[in-house]
Amino acid sequence: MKAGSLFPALHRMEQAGWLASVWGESETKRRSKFYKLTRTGRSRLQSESQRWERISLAMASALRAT
Amino acid sequence: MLRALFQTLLRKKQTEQQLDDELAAYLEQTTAENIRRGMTAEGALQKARRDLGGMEQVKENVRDVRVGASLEILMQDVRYAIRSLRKNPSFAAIAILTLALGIGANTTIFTVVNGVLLKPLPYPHPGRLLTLWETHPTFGQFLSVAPANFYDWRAQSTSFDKMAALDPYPDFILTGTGEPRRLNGAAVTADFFPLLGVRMALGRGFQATEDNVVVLSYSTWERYFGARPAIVGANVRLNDAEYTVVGVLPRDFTLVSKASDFQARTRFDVWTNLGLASPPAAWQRGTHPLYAFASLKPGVPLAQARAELDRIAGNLRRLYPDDNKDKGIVAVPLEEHAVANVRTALLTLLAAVVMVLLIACANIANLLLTRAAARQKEMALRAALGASRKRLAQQLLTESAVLALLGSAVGLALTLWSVPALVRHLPADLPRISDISVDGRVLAFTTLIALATGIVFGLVPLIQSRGVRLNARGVSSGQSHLRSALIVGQVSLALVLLVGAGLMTRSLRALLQVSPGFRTAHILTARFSLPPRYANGYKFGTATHREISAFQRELGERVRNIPGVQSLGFTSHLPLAGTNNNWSFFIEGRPPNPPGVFDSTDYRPVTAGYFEAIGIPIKSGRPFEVRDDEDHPLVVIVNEAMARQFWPNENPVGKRLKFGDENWRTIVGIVGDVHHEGLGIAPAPEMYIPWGQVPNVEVRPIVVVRSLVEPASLTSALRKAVAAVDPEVPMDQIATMDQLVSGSVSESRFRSAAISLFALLALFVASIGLYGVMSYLVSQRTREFGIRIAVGATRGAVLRQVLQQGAKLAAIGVTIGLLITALLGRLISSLLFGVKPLDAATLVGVSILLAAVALLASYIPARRAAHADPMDSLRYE
Repeated sequence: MKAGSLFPALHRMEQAGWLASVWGESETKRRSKFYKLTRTGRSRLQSESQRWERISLAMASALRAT
Repeated sequence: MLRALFQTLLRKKQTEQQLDDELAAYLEQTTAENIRRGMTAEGALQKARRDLGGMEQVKENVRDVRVGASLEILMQDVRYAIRSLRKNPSFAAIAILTLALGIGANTTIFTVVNGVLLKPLPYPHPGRLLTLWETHPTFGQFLSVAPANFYDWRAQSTSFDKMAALDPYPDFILTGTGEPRRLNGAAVTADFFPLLGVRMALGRGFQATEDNVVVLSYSTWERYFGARPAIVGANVRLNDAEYTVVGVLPRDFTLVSKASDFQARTRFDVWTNLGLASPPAAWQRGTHPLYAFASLKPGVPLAQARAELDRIAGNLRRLYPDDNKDKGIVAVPLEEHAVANVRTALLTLLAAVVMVLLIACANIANLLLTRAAARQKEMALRAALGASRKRLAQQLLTESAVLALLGSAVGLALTLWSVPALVRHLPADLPRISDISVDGRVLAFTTLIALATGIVFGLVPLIQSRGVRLNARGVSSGQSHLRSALIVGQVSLALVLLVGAGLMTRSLRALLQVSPGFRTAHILTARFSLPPRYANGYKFGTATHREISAFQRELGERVRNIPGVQSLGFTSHLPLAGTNNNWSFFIEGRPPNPPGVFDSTDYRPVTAGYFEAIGIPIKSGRPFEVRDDEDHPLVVIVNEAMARQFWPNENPVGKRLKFGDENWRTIVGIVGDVHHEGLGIAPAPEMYIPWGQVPNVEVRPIVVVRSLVEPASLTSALRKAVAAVDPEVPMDQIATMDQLVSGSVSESRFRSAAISLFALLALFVASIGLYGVMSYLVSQRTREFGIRIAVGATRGAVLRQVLQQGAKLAAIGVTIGLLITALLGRLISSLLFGVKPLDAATLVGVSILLAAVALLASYIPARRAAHADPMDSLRYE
């Protein structure tokens, strides 16, 4: 994923409450922003990945059927 | 979420700083990582930057996903738009003023349309109110109603909540409150006020069976009774009889009606009880004084009510063939009926102002195009700095919307100022004038057209800005095509408006050129209302007119002695005054008509001297003389139209006819036709009866005074003469004949003036637009012209070339305009008189005018082109 799309995505998820951010110190000893998944974010991730699995399963069986 | 919004909008600086930090840290980390993978420090930074893909673009993308980002961008764009308008005040002023004129004119006309056509009627259940009319294949479609028929409709119908009738004829002379006053009266059935849902300001309405009671209008109560609350229950003296006041109407009560309803009476001062609680006498099926109203029962569809009325009409035709043969009943919703005659005219006006606005929009679009061309570098820079195409478009649209909103604010101010002025100049017989005011709907309309215009002229530079490139330079040919298209559109709309104005003005001229059939100059007219004692012992057919004749004789002698008076006479119905009456008759020696079929014509009592005073020519026989009174043989004079219709191949003079049961009358003369109903309406058959011999009693003589001096200057002498004859006779409706003629075409005059004003505005705006575009095109080609001249083109050739370009645009515009005119002409044909919608003279004249203006607008830029200095062009390269 290109950084150009990464940052807007991160900010959008933060505003939706799926991510929480903290300012910490990076390895280069500089103030950096760290993102971590919140509880709503985690459950959202779960439901999204289940959805993805369902879709990929459906796609796979559809492909096999042909 | 809210916190995020709060951060975006109010903690902007901090949020931006954090974004900077975040990205800087990321960059540093990736650089460090790249170094760990073995890159040089410089190469690592470069790769990290490249991977990120442009710092500013990333930031812009992040800003776009923030909550409330669009709001913030909007505010930013609005601020930016205002700033850039302030930097260019002449552009802003021209654009805002043009828009203000366009939007102001639109809002003003819409205010009138809203008040007259759109607002619900000022009654509680406007949609259920109907007017009912008798209808007959030859007498007319909307006839007033016979009392006996009304009684049966009301008794036999079930679709209606209430049915009520109004008789507009009663006149009252109010005495005992100072000078005698003539009041317009209306008699209504008890259901009339409840049907309209009127709540009295004081007291109550009528009960079905009471007599000698009145309801006062609010203004009568204020003017003659000092607005005293104790008036309810008090007695007032009307026509020498005592009436008890039972109620006072509310101040804002108006009876919405068409100009021609109620014999041209627009207001009623006192209301009496019409009764009709029990079946009227049989003869009341042959006289038609009533105006009928009904309110549908809730939930009953109009079609069902109409079907029921048809059944009732069928019953009445069978039961009373003498009076009701071929007669039907029509029900028209009150809101439709009142505005039926003005709808087309008002919608035409609205269409005209919309065209003016479109032309103004095209001008502003052109201005914006020029600005956009000048701002191409700025746009390219913004695009380079990370603004997306969507974002640039949004900014341009915001600028247009800000312009439009500022323009509409000024336009609204113009409207608030112009509506009261316009209301004063509206033709007085326009219905519902009192409902014309700026209300929420008008404000919504203004906002809507402001946004619509903002989008219309804001989109034009957008279409053009699709061509924005990083190194854009010069003008694309696409742009000049767009400008040319705008000019063509403007010219064609201006042509349509000018043709409309030309047609309306020619109609008015044609109307005013119609000879009314009498000589209008130097005539003063005034109406007298004689108290009931003048009509003592009146019975139909046996009327005695001695008192009235004596009044007319005595007043006539006094007035003839006023210096400057040449001649005078009396009539009951003046031409062009909006009133009329009609009477049926039998001709001696002709086979009787089948039952239910009558010969009838318009009819007026007049005195000796009337024809001379008003200037109606005697074509054959003799005029009336003083001896034609009740002691002498009955006589009648007919006009040429009546002679043609009833005696097509004979000379009617000496023939006899009669009204009802009276004795035969001899036709003693034929007079010229007059346009009684209006200059645009063909003269109808008419007969004139000597006042002393009319079968009914007319107690409202109108004097016609022909003078050698300015007629209005005789008013006070006339007033003195009347007071000397009988101080209890009120005199009103004082007007010169010229005023009456002018008033009779007031609607046509207003229409022609309004459309002409809009057309001139359109011509002006469109010519400015053409001038602007030609100037622009010339300025773009100055170099080319310079080179042409340098290589030998004459200045005349260059001038011609530019003029040709302007002429080509104008010619295309005129052609399209003529096509539109051909399509629309039919729609306004009902507003025209004496001229066809595709009147060749108007079309040619307007096209030439427009072409001339277009050439003039191109001439100045063309001269500039012709004077291009070849040296300038060479140096420029």
